[in-house]
This record gives sequence, structure tokens and C-alpha cells, in this order.
Amino acid sequence: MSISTHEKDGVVILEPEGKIMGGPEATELRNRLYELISANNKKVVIDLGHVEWMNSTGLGILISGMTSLRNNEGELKLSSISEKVANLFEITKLNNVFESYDSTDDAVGSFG
Amino acid sequence: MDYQLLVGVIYLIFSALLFFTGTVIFRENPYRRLNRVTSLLLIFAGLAPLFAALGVFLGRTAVTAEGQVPFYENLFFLWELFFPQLVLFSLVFPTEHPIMSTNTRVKYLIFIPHLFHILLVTLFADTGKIVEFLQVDSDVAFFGWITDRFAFFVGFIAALLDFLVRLHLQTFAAINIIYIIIALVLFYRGLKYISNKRLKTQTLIVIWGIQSAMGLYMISYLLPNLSGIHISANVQIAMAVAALAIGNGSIIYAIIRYQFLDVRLIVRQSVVYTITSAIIVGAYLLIISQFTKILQDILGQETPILPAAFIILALIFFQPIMNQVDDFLKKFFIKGKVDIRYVADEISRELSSILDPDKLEASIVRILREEMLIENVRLCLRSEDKPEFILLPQPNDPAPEMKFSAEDELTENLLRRDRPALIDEFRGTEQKSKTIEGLEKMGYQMIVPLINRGELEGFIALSNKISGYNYNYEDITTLNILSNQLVVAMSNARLYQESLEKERLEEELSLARQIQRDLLPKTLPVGDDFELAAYSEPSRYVGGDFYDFLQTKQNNTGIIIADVSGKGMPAALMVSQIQAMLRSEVRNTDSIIRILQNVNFLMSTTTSAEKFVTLFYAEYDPAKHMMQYSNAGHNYPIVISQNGEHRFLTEGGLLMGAFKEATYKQDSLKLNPGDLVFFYTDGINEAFNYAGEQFGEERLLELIKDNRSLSAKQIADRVVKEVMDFSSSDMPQDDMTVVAFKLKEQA
Repeated sequence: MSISTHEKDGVVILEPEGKIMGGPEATELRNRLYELISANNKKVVIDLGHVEWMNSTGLGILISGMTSLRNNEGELKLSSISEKVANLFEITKLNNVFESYDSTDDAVGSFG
Repeated sequence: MDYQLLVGVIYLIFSALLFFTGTVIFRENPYRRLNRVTSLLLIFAGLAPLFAALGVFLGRTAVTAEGQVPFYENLFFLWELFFPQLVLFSLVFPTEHPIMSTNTRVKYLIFIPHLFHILLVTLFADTGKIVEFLQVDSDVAFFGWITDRFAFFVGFIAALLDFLVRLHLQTFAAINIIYIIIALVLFYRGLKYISNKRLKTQTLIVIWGIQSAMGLYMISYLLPNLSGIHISANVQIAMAVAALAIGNGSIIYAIIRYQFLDVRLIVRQSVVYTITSAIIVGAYLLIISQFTKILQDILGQETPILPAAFIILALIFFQPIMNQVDDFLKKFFIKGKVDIRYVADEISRELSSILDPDKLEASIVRILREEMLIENVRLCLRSEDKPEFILLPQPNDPAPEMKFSAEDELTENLLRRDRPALIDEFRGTEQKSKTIEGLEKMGYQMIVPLINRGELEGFIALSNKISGYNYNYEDITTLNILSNQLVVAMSNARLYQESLEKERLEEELSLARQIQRDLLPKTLPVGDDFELAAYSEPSRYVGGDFYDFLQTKQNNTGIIIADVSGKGMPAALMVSQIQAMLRSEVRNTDSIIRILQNVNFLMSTTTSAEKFVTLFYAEYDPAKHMMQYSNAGHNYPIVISQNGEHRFLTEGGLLMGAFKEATYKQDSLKLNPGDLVFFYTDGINEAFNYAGEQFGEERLLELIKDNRSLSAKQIADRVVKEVMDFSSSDMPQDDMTVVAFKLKEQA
């Protein structure tokens, strides 16, 4: 999996692709998030538009990314969540924890 | 036929062999004491058969010249210097006795009795000469005066000396035997200090040879002198020579096998030439001298035909005889050990059967020391976790275990060379490696790299060979073969160890599986109005799913199904922790919400945010047919009524263990007879087939709906079977758990 990263209006946007189900792709996402956090980035959006599916490992990475950012007075927001993944967020009630937006622009804009 | 002549020839050949071997051993390395001592020993020993042969050849003429004692008769005793020399030999073989360096006079002192003896027997072989000597020149005034004055005294001294000489001659054989015994004692002592098996065997051969020789010698000399049994001079000499043959034979054998393992072709060839020539000369002497006589008798005149024919025959047969002798010697002394194929074969047979790395290391060291006769061998292997090499300790080498960095120049050099090389060859570089310096100081001369697929696994450091020879081309070839074999054997041994480790791990895992299985409820609660069925199968040995049935404070039935994030052992460890928390909370807390909040808080503070559990907790009150529940981010359990209507149990809160401030809500529902509540984990709905298609919630819902009239157990089994049939693998892809709770239909 390749994770493209770009920045817009001071917000770092990560765009993972495929499935986040443990293995190297999950490790890459985890490392990328930690790099951003240690580089003191505070505004991060993960664009899940190209993520077909994720399992508990993927969720775990998002959760820990978010809590770490929060502890650093930052914020992790999600965008373009597919229906299937959204269902997962709903079941686990994580939709109550993560701020998510239909588009990446909306997510970036929400940082104000 | 004159057998005396044959005996003479045999003596002569034997003597020549001893002289020759002595010379060869001396020339091999004149600077080594062992060589000098051994060669002199063999030369002294060679004197005996030489004089015996002279006695045989010249004896007849000597006998005719009456009253003349032949000169060699007196010289004959010279060979007895063999005995002190034997003691000297025992002081340097198999190891040098410390006295050789602390008291340098010893090596001369041990010869005094024999020198005295020889002086005595050569000067006063005839005891009468002593008196003669003392009375000689009595006409000289001074002596005459003395002899006149002390005539009686002189006579007394002469008689005393005469007696002493006789006594001496009678008992000197005993001195020789004492010398042999001293030598034997020293050999036995030396045995204790040698660890090389081969050297030990050789020393034992020497000991046995000398013991047998001593036996023969005692019979031939001591017995007649002490007991008066007469043994003819010829037999006596023959026995002495036989004793020498056995004793020296054993020494030659041991020394050659010990020293001449890589006996150079030229040395071996010279031995071969000597023996062959001796055989032919012997044959010539035997045949020609006899047949010429016969021919002379027949033809009545001397004919040069026979000697000429013999010389031609000798020329024709020289080479074949020589080859035979060469083969025999090779077989006898060398036993094919210089044949590198032999050594390689031995090595591969031995190494391939060893699967324990430690034993492999010990065995390679032993093989090198014994098969190639190398003084010290040390193995240096790459450390498993650090970029360094460890020079393993070795019992024969006092230097302790040593480490050196793998970034040393030596690593690079060894990789580049990729074959055994003398340590000297690494010296050319401008900046010398510390390791090489260290190894050199410890006396190592040769380095054999162990390279496996372009990586340096380590090397073998070899000291000098016991023989003192340098490493030759054959040795390097053998070492090269050996290093390749060793690398393969080491990697086999490592794989085997890994498989053992894996086996052990698997054993542990199946034990863990058993433990996890035992943590699940062994019996299902039986209610008056409900039935329960449960199934759980981890995708690996252990998993992160579990279910539990507990009795609540109000005597209701508590039902738990949960799925810890991740799989395998890490998940299983969390399962047991959560299970314990829940059991304790359910027993002590009567609010569902509080139970979940407490467990969530405890979990959040003890585990990383990445680890969490989705959990569904329900309590069924049989009196009211009411089910209270809270869903902490778990797959929605499905309630199906008899008429086929369904609903999902969604109320609750966040998955647990990630956010410690999470709060939960609860809901309750009234259940009717025949209602089914189906709980499951994501291993069910997320099972996928070959097309990558998921089993999915809809399919599950339909399946349950279609089978709602079956018993709880049948429904659970049916779902598991359908999912397994659907799935692309025989083993669950993820941990799979189902719990079916069904109210009995009213009769």
C-alpha cells in the first residue's frame, strides 16, 4: 500500500489505499502517523476514500493516532469514509469519537 | 644353503634401515631435539645388527685367524649406548620432560655408566690384561719400584678389578634393563600429559614395543647370566636383534606416523629405494653366490652369464618391486590419511550426522586436531545478535573466549579471499587488523573462512601442525573442502535447532490453547424457559474471541460475547485479563452500565489505545422474560421472533479499552416464547470466499431467519457450517464465535 501525503492550509492529509488489516500496510500507516505526531503536526486528515476495508487493527491505529494527537493538542479528522467502513464505525460507535466529513476539503476547512 | 648368509643379509638390511630412518629423521629437522634424539637412537640401535652381520660375514675368517679378536667384537658393545639414548628419547617423547630444560647435564649424565662400561670392555675385554697393564713396563724404574714394593697390593687390586669386571659383565645387562624400565616409566608419565588421541596411541605402541623388546632381551642376556642356562651366542644375538627390531620398529612406526603424516614424496621414495635395493642386493648375494657355485660345478668354469642375467632381471623388476614396497609402506604407515578424499569423506560422514551446534563445534576441532594433526584449533563464529565474532574457548588453549568486531578488516579480507590462507597473507595491508595481531600472538598461523551465501559465518584458526611442517597445497585443499562441509553442517544444525524450537513453541501454544479453552464455561446454563448454545474457534492456537455465562447478583443469567482486537497470543492474553475483570465486576456490581464503564476504565488505563475490545453484555431475567443489555461497539446481536421479524441490539457505547472516559447506555427488551437472540463476532460476517466476497450481515440474517424454528444448538451449528462452507479456507480466517439464546416455545 502506498500512502500519499500532502499538505493543504497547514493540514496534513494522508491518503491510504486498499485494506487496512494488519501487515505492512497497517505498519506503514502507523509509522506515518507517528512521524507526523513527532514532527509536531497538529492538524491531520486521513482520507479514507480509497480504503475498501479495515479490521480491528486498522481501527486501533486510527484510535491511537487520534488519542496521541489529542494529547498533543492536535486533532485527527476523517473524510470520505466508504459505506462499508462507515458501518464499522457505526457498530463500534467510533463515529461518536471521530469527526468525519464527506470530503477532504470539508475536513480541512473544519480546522478553520 | 648357508642360512648364516641369509641371517647376515637380514641383519645388514635391518641395520641399513635403522641407519637410513635415523638419517631421514635427522635431516627432516635437525633443529628439533626430538629428531636428533630419535635419529641417534636409531643409529645406536642400528649398530647391533651391523656388528652382528659383520660377525656373520667376517666371523668365519676371524675364526680361522686363531687368537685374533676381531676389532668389531669390541665395538659391538657400542650399540649398548642405545639404552641411555632410549632414556633420553623417553625424556623428549611424547612430551619434553621438564628436567630437560631445568637440568641440562642430565642428558650427559645418563651416558656415564655405559661409557664406563664400554671403556672397560674395550680396554680390558680380557681381564688378564688388567694385571698386565699394571705390571707393564716394570723395568721402568719408577713403576718397577712401585710394583716391587706393592706387588701384593697390585695383585690384590688386579684380582679385585678382575672380579669387578666379571661382575660388571655379568650384571651389566641388568643396568640396561633398569634403563629400559626408567624409559617406560617416563613414557607412562608422558601419556598423562597428552590429549591428542593419536599421539596417545602412538606412545602406547612405543611402550608395548619396548616392553616386548625388554622381555626378549631379558631372556637372552639376563637369564643365562643369572641362572646359568646356556644360550648359544648366535641365538643370543638373534634375540637381541629381534628385541631391537620390535623396540625400534615401534619407535619408527610411532615417529613416522606422528611426524611424517605428510611425508614428502621424496622422503618416502628414498625409503622405498633403499628397501628395494636391499632386497635386490640380498637376492643377488643369495642367488648368485649359490648358483655360480652350482654352475661352476656343472660347467667347470666361471661364467659371467648369470650375474649379467641377474642384473638385467634386476633392472626389469626394480620398478615393480619398488611400487609394491611403496604401496605397502603407504598402507602401513600412512593408511591413506594423506589422501584428501579420505579425509574429506571422513569429515562429511561425521559432520553430516551432527545436529547439535555445540557438538559440531567440538567435533570439528577434534577432527582437525586428529586427522590433520594440528596442535591447536579454535572456532570463531558470528554472534547472533551483535556485529561481532566470538572466538570460542577451547580446552587445549589457555586463551579465554574473545570477541572482536565484525567491522574488523579481517572480515572483509576473509570474504574477499574465500579460501583458507596463512595469517601471513593478511599482513600486507597497511593497517593491521587487531584480530590478526591477537591471533598471531596466540600462535595461530592459518585462517579458514566459513562463508555461507556470501556471508562470513566465522572462521577456524589453526596453529602449527604437530609435525612442525608447513601447510602444503593438499592441506589447503582439504581445509577448503572441510570449511564448505562445515558451513553446510552448521546451517543444517541451525535449522534443526530452529525446528526444535518451533516444536517447543507449538507445544506451549497447544498448552495455551488448552488453558484458553478451559477459561470458557464448561457447562452451559440451563434455564426453565431458555436454551443456550455456544461455539468458539480461534483462527490460530489461541484467539481474541470469547463468550461467558455468569450468574448475576440478582440471580439472572449474564451473557457475554467479546472480540479483542488482533489475533493470536497477544489477543489471548488480553482475553484472560478482561474475562477476569468482568467476572469480578458482574459479581460485585448490579448495574450493567457500571460494569461496562468500570471494565472500560480499567482496560483503558492498562492497555495501549491501539488495543481494544468490542463487547456485548446482556442479562436475562427469566421471571419477567426481560433482557437488559449494553453493546460496547460489538457486532449487533440479532433478535428474531417466531414470526420472522428481527431487530438489532445496538444500544450501548464505544468499544472498550481505548477511551477511559467512555460512557455506556443500556436498553431492555421483552422476549417472547420462541424468540432467538443470536450473538456473533466478526469472524462470522467477515468470512470471505474465493471471490473475495464477504459472508455479510444480510446472508447471516437470512440464514438465521430461515432456521429460526430449530433449536439453539442446531442454529449455532448450522451457522458455523454455512460460514465454513462459504469460506475459502478450511481453518477459520478469523476467530469465530457464536452464541445462540432461544426462549422455549410454549407447549
